[in-house]
Amino acid sequence: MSHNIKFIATVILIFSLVVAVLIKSKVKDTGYSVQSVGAVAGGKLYKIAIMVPATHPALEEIQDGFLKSLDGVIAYKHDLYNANGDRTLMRHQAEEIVAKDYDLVFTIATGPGLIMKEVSEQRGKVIPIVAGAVDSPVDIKMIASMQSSGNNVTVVTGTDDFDQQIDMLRYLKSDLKSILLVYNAVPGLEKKRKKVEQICNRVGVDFQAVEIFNISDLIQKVPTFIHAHDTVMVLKDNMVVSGIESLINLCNKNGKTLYASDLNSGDKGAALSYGIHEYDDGVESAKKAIEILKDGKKPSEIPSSMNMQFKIKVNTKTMQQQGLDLPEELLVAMKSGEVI
Amino acid sequence: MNFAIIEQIALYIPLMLGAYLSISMMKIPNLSIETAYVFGAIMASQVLMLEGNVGIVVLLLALLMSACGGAMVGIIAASFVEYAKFSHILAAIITMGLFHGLSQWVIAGSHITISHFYNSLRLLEFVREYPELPIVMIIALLMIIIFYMFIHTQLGISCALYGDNILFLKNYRMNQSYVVIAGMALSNALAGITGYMVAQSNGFADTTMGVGLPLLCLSSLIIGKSLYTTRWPLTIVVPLVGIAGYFMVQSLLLGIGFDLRYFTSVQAIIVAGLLIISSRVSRRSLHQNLLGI
Amino acid sequence: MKSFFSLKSFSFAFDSKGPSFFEDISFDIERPGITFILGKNGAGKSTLFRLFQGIVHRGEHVQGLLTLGSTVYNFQQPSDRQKLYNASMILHQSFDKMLAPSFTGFENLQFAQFDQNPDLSLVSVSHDQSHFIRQLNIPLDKPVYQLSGGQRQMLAMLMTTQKSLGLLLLDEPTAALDSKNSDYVMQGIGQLAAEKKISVFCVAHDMDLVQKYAANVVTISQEQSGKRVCTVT
Repeated sequence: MSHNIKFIATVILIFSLVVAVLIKSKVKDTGYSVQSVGAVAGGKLYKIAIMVPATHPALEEIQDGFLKSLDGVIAYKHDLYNANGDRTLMRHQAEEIVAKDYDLVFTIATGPGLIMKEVSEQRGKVIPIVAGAVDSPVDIKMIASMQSSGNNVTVVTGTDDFDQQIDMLRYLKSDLKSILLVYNAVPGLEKKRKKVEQICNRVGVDFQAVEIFNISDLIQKVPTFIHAHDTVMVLKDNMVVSGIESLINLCNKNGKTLYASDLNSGDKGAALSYGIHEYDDGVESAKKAIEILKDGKKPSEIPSSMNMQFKIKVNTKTMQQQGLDLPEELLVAMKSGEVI
Repeated sequence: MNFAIIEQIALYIPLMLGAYLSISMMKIPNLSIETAYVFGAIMASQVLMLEGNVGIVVLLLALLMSACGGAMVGIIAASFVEYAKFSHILAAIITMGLFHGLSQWVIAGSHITISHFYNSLRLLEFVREYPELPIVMIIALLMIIIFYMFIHTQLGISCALYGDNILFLKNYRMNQSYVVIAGMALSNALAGITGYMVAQSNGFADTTMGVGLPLLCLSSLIIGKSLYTTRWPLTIVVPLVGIAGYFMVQSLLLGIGFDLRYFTSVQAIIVAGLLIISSRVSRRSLHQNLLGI
Repeated sequence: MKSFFSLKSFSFAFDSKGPSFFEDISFDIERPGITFILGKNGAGKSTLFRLFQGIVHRGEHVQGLLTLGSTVYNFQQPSDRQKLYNASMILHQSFDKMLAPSFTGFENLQFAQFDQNPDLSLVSVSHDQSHFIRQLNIPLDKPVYQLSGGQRQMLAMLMTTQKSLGLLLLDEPTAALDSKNSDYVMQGIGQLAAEKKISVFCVAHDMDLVQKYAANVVTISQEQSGKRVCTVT
């Protein structure tokens, strides 16, 4: 009986592998895209591995920015490793990457970055790593310091600039009196809430915070508080941002301005949003990659950096509903801004 | 690369033994195994913070702490079932909720780095490129031996009896609550041990490290059962063959290099195929529980 | 003569506010051997069996004293009921509830003898068969699910008698057995009851069986809205 099972199981296995290969050839962007540039004379073809933790539009933006910035500068061939949200698979992919011969690894987000660093160190294969979109890389001991990592990693991290962010708000909304901050009460965001609160106190804006523990809280808790304020603000907060539509509806109905800390929410309907384009994260990372590959620098010689290219975005379709009335001339005159 | 797979397999052996005990032997839909895995890693991380200890002591303490952390999860989930009369799945879900908050309280956040502490898995660095391999394999071997002995004890057999006939223990006036709680505690303790070892190997622990674990456990058990069916006590081979098969399938798929966005789907197809085939060919569907293993 | 089993002032109601099901029943069993319980369907045999194990559900009302040999159990004390539960054993009509189907007969017999709190002692399965068991011709080295219904019923019977207890309750123990095995098994039970001084109660509808093996007979009959019990033979 067990002979039967093994035979049939093998047949199924082979069948599935065939299916897998078929999927590969069907999907265009399989990751084996070869970018060769004729203008780069005598340029070596670099092999790059890209690690992402899951499929997500923001991560794809970063990847896009990275790859497009490399085009025309170096000739490269890249493989994309997507962990599908599975940490075990992520580790396996890191081992796979180390076993193969890559010239550079570009990791996106904290998980892949940390694991790639660990595995390359364990297996003694010092492959240069550019880690993009990592929060607090020094705190989590990924690098020794922002100036010099002391290892084979260099980081592009994100940061907040709440001072400028609040200033922008006061400039654009002259009748600003009080802000309601809606956020998911985890330790990382508690710090940010405190900062925003401090700034508001300093500039004389009333401040209240609503803690959210799951998405249904958005509909249950926020309406109670929204009436006492004229602006609702959200941070770069996975939980709240995933439910941003309900906040947008709420603000539209009550005529309150929604001020988001990521530009995507602006596209979705927040009247004002302040943040960086993930694409720029990719661009910044690509700069480092080029220094490593073309100029032959070591990651420890390249200081880690923050992407400071903040943009302010105004959603003209919803701004009236959300109580933000901006004159045409102002919109045209906004230098670092974007208007939709 | 070959040794990397062996290391991965060895890391997950304790988890698979635990999953085998609660899911296959006791036929409990043990969803709390994921929580135990995470909580074991988190508890062990606290021990690592103690400075100035001899290497072997750190290792033993970490293993002990992770086992206790996992056992805590198992005891609480099983107690809900036996004393509050919850179903196993409900108990697992509630336990998951409880420990989500507890975990964050223990590490004051949702993420903790442990790479800068002494890595006790590197006690026996023989091969330069695989510093953790010897210790990990020793631990895996030890767990296998202990588990093999366990399933020959009265308690171990009682766990199997609970799965084979849920009324058996009650009818023979045996303390069913004790058996269920002890079985779950041991099963989740093993999961906690693997949790610690994986966290140590990756350099960090966080509350999302267990995502995808139930699928891994179930897939491995299904693969193992499809390829190898025997009676007690040799059935211990099932989880071992299963996890080896799982990682080999994964390796094979990674080697092909298809679009990895669909990786999980292809893996699921393979597992489903194996299960369908094995259930058709076997002579008698030996007591399938809700999860079919 | 000292009685093996006695019941005094036994009353039971499904609902403490409702009518009594059993009202103030007392009887003694004085002869050693098997006691058969007879009664029409719905007379209350299964309920009586359940109560004899000390199993009382919430809302029910029980009172009375049950004496097994020299131990007295008070139905109103939860601790006594628990003790009675641990001292009794029932072989259900659906005998598969008593078997672990994936394990062999030898293993099942061994496992039925486990302690109340299973410990970590290593178990080795013995393949010894007593003369009695050998005569039954049950293949004990095969997984139990491969045995026939009759063989499984006999195995379940053997397993229930492995434990040392004070009270053994059998519900239709020979339903799946042929006449030869029926006789053999009932003789064995009778011997066991006498040797080990276990009180054995048996529910059966086969009057031949009752004629042959009953040492005592308890009949449950119903008067106008009330149950009563009487002992015979």
